[in-house]
Amino acid sequence: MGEADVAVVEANGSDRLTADASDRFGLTWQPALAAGILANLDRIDVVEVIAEEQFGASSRATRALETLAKHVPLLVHGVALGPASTAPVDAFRLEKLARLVDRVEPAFWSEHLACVRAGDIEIGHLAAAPRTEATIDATAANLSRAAALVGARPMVENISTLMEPPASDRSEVEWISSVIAASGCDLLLDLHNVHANSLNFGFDPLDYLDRLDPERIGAIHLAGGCWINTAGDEQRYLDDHLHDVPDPVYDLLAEVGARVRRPLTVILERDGRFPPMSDLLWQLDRARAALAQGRLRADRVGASAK
Amino acid sequence: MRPEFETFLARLYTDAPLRARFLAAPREEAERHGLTVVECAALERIDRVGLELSARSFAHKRALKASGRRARSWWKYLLRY
Repeated sequence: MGEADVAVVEANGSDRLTADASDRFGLTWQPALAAGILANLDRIDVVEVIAEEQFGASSRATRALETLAKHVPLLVHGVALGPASTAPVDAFRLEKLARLVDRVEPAFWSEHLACVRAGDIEIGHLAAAPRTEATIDATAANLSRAAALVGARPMVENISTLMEPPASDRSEVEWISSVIAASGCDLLLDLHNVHANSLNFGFDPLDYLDRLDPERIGAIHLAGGCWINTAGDEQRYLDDHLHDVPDPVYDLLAEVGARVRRPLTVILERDGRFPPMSDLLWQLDRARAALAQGRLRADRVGASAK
Repeated sequence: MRPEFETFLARLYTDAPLRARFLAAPREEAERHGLTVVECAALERIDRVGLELSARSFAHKRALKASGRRARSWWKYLLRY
């Protein structure tokens, strides 16, 4: 039995080593995981659904989503709004989001701090905006518009990037902290994205965590990735959601547990190359254990300080 | 930051011939698109490896979306549930 297995056993077997009762752990909904998720709702507290996959859904699919919401709390996660832009977010997309949120009544909705289009060009995925005062203000304005139309502020997620956005005049964590402060939105902290960016751009992920306001961290994403080769000899680390959560990400989750006192929602994201459901459930158990260990460490430090 | 700068970045990510011209002569290509002196200077310092990898990653995502690879019939599981 490895250290991780021991941690899981301890976390499940000890009253002192369990995550806060209000912490929730879950998976992103994927068609390939549907049967496994539905068969294991005793071990899955919450399910995240991708907003854009529900837009334009048939009436039967809509009813099915409402059925799912009766069995497990849902989260709505957007991937294509692109609020980190000087251009106003698309009102039509916001209206669709608002309708989905009305229908599903999620615990919260979330979106990425990314740019996904500019002018008439669809980038296709999440691009990091240049980190400047102008994009902080524009992003906060877009998030305010989104909150007004949807009726609730989104949690906002840090993204992974393969390049430092040009024209930036501050670090990623400074930019994110400023957006959080200016927008009033809480942070959906993707720890694999922090891990990936720390490998690609050489910063200390613990320093990154230290510079975030722990009171503003409301949810966590976990995922996996892999190294990719460039045309030269260089390598970069890609957040691909196709691999298991690596050990350093669990370590970061424990660090979050030591810093954040509020209840957290932790979601494991897996988009393909699906392992057996038992593997995903085991990764969720490891996440429970890591968060619990961090919280216990903070409790011990607090007790010894008294 | 101006919208024109954002749009130029989006073009760099999505337009391979433009990206090749830009990487051969960054300042000249940026000037041709009407960017300011400060914007051109920032683009001259761009992370070239990161730009190529990002463009490759975005192209892969666009291709996935275009192919509609994600199954849409997940609700069938629920209707049986």
